[in-house]
Amino acid sequence: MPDTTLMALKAAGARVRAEGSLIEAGVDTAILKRCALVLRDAGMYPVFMTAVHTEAGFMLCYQFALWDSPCRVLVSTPAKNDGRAVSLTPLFPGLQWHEREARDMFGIIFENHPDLRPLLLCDEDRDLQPLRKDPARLKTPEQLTRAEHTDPDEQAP
Amino acid sequence: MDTPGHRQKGCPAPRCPVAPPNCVQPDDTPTLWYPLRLAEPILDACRANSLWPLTFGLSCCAIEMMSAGMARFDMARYGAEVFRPSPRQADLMIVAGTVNKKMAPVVQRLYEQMADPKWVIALGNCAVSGGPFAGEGNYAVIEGVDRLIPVDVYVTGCPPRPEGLLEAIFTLQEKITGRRHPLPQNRHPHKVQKR
Amino acid sequence: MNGSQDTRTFRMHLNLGPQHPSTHGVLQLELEMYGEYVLGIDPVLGYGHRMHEKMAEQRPWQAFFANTPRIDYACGLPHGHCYALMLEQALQIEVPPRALALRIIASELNRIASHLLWVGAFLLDLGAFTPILYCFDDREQAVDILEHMTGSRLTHPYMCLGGVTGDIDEETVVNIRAFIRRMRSRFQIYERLVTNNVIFIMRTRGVGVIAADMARAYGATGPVLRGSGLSCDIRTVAPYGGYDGYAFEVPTGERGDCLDRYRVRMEEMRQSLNIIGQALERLPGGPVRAEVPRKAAPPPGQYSCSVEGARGDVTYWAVSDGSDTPYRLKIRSPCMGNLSLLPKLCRGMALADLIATLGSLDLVIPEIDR
Repeated sequence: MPDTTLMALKAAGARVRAEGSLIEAGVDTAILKRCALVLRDAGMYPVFMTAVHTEAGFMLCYQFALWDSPCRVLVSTPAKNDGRAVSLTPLFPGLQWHEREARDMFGIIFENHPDLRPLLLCDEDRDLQPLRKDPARLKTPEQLTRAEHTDPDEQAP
Repeated sequence: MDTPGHRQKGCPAPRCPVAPPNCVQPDDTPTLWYPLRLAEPILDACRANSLWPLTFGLSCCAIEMMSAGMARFDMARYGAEVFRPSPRQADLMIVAGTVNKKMAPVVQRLYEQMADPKWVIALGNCAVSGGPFAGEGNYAVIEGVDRLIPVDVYVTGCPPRPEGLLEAIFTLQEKITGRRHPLPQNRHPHKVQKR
Repeated sequence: MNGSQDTRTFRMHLNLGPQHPSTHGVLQLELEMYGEYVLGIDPVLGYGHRMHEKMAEQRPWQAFFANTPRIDYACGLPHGHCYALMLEQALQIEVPPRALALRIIASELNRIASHLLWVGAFLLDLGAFTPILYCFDDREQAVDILEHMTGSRLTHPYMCLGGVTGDIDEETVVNIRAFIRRMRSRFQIYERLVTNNVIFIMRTRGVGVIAADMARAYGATGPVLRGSGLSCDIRTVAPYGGYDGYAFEVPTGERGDCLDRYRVRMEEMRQSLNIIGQALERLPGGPVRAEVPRKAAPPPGQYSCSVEGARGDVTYWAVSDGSDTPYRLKIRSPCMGNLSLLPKLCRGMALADLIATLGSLDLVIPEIDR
């Protein structure tokens, strides 16, 4: 049920905002695994995992959904400065290929990933990282957030 | 130049630009033993009436290629019914779909594995020129399969209708034998003017 | 294994694809075999990678509608539907009711065409050459109607921002009703030829059993998840685009084997005919497209939309920086989740059963590769 999930996420330390059945959660790297465990115990299935290249580095975005209710959770977390991130594959095996694709497209290295070979790109393009943006076209995370959502009162207690 | 079947009669065959040195190219094929050259028109008619395509559907155009082989459009009427999965048994490679950098060596290897005489139809805009994926920022799609292998007939469309593939078969038959319908039973019932 | 001679004889590395009649596109499976049995699979993807997400970042928002039917070409309208709904939600555009109904009719026709294509190809993999001819015959009827509505047989340019590109006339409505009647009568052919066929049942019953928990952990959705018993269909769980006004059932299987997935898809085709019939009965009048800005520029933020494609949960997620070009567009392909469970599932399976399972997942590889 969305309410208990919301409570559990807030208790784990995420900054949660709920709009109807869509829950957006901003988490720090340290608590990502704890939040993912909460979602797995709620019975959610992994929809996707991807990244966005911003001026502040890579923003990793995960989406999870429930199979019997319209609840969807979007989890955003920044990658570490050197482009490394924690792999959620041990918790959600379905994210394995999404993380391989993120490595192909952005160059993010996932720690504890069982198999981080190129998925979509050919061998000679393995370090092409095509979805990285030119520095001139990068935007800050604030420029990519909805104006009404930059309210500081939305922080978790 | 009357090398058997690969190029239009009298047209000098271009060398494939990316072929490795030991790849057999059209102008390297040995000419037929003289008595068999007398039978060449018959051999060409047989080849044109019995093209065996390689199952090489890569993306969207593969569905139209399948439709062309099914009951409504029926390529079997024109002889090209027997889709062979193995390149050793096929003589027509219909490149139906987008060729990207990862697939390019596979296309070349399959083409080389096919025995002469062999022909290639580039089906769809992606195989002709990269299609909707060509342009600035393209890092993966090969803009046209003729950068890899020599193409005999180009069929444009995204995707082309199955009738387009049938027209490609006719054009190829004309290229091989000089006539659109090499054998009498394939003549159009409304007596379309012969070329 | 007893001794090195056995290992030498029976253990081998077999390469399946990327050119293979049964891989449904350009999939390469590197198989470790022990005789006829699969020890391990390593799928190699990327042979159909066509940079859709990169193209989205270089073109205006509305120009991406040309890419959407080409991502999953067998059932491309739900992708366009999803992208359109996401943009309309972002731009607060209200779609006229006639357009909603036409979108549903076109999507369901496309679902039927896609499932027919799947049935034919699946049976071709199992070695049956006849059913694909019947399937394609029925598919041609559906595709004819879609061609009248949308202008194209396969990559339909129908969904657009604010509605659909064109209206349908009375003749098309009559043709759709005739198609529904004809299709309902054709199911008995499939019952006799395929569903009650003892060879088909022996090849598919108990083969490729996917447990519901495993399907969920790997993100498998659509008929794969429904075949395992979970009634998860976004059209009923989180209705979008007007689907909450239609009454239809969501078929589920029991065991999660290939036969269940086949039955789920056959029943889904029947339910799609019901939906189309209901949509035609209550087809409202009015415009088919709302007034939309010439260049769409959603306000900064992230937007997400999910629809039920023929293969599962199609989700689009976009990040906008306020300009008329997307900053990031993520396309979630349902086939990716469906295929990712194959390596775990197929250990110890015979090669013929692997082909049956692979076929029953209904994969379109260029959708995974995007």
